[in-house]
Amino acid sequence: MRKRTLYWILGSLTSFSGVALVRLLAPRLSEGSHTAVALIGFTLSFFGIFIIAKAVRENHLKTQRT
Amino acid sequence: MPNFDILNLFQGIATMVYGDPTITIARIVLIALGIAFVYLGAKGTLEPLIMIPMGVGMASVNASVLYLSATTMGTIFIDPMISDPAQLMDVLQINFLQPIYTLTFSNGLIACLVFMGIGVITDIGYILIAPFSSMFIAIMAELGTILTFPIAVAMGLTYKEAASVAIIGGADGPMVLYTSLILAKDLFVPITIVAYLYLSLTYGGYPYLIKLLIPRRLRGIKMDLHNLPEITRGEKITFAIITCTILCLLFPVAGPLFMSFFVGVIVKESEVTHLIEFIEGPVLYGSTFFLGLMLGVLCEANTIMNPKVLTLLFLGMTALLISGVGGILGGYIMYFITRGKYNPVIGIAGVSCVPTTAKVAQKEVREVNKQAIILPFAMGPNISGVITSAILAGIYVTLLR
Repeated sequence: MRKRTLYWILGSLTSFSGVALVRLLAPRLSEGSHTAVALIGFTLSFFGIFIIAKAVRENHLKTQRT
Repeated sequence: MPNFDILNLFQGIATMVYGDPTITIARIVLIALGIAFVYLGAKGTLEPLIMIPMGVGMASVNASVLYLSATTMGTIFIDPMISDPAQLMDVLQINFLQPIYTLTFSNGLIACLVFMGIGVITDIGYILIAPFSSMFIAIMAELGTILTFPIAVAMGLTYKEAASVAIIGGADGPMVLYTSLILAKDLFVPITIVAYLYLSLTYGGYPYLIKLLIPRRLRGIKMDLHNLPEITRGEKITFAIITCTILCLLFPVAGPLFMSFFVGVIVKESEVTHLIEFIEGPVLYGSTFFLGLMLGVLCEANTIMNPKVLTLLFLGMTALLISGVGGILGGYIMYFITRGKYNPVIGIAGVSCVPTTAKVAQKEVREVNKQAIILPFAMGPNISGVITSAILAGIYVTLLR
């Protein structure tokens, strides 16, 4: 149960960190690093969503097996 | 009855032949096309929910041209090009469909209402059943949305027009409407009509693409249905609200679309019966009906006669074709990753025409192997496709507006 909650928190934190990079940090940087940071931010955001989705699936599969 | 003229009695005929012969021919063609849409919609060849009202609107508006004053001709249906607020106030009291156009079309509300309806008939749990394959195939099936953009620019469209027509590759009508209204308002009528026309043809065209690209042996692969996790309502709601918030933060310009879709999803999972019935009934069917009717009425010869229409017809078809190929390519990659356990036909479902392409995939598989059920796996990419299309629309609008 604790592990399941951990994935939700971890996934959300990763996503929101990505958002912070895209919306807060990237606009303050020069043109070259702006694009790189924004791309990293977008990737992190989607990766966070993926972590949540993957963890939900794995937890259910584990519960079904036991 | 002094000076009786039969043409005064039947003004529609007089106005039809008055003026530019090209416009007259265009009107006749559009009336015939409208009648054909009604016939093909009623027969089920084209999507009836859109095509029947669209066909009626198209035939009626082109047959209803009248003298508005001694020197001007027009219709009393709608004036899409009006922008001056004072004139708009006058027109709102004359053109009977103008209030619906002004208050629901020009601000993208109708696209959001359709999206709410799509949300309420969508089970987001399908994404959580197989998140990697769903998201991967959905991204691959956006190939048309990405590649059509440079093709369109090479064919002479501006960046904004190119992005609007490229979104057709996402196979999401409301998304095309929303993007073209923001980026290419002058071309939004032909672009949206091309999109809806082709989308209603995907049901007939994609099976041939599947048969062409996937051998019969692979089409019959059975998917393992035993290990499907049962996702709880709470998990679906939490996933939906987190995803919605993150996507709105990343792409505020597509925020109305994300909100509309996810509010539908959450209402469904919350099991609020009255709201579900309201959104999936009056909201979805009402907005689809008016969308079709308005698109038909907007097909007035003067509005639609644009030299770019032929280019748009070509690009729309290209976008959907490349997206279909991209989706199948994604299906093949999944087939190789899973060492032959994944049916590549599922790839076509990544083209997010919910739920049409998922049904097409299931139908094609059942033709080869009656025991094979792939729908639960096809719905994941299908729903992910809606989200990836909205993301791409958000990217295009953010970069080009």
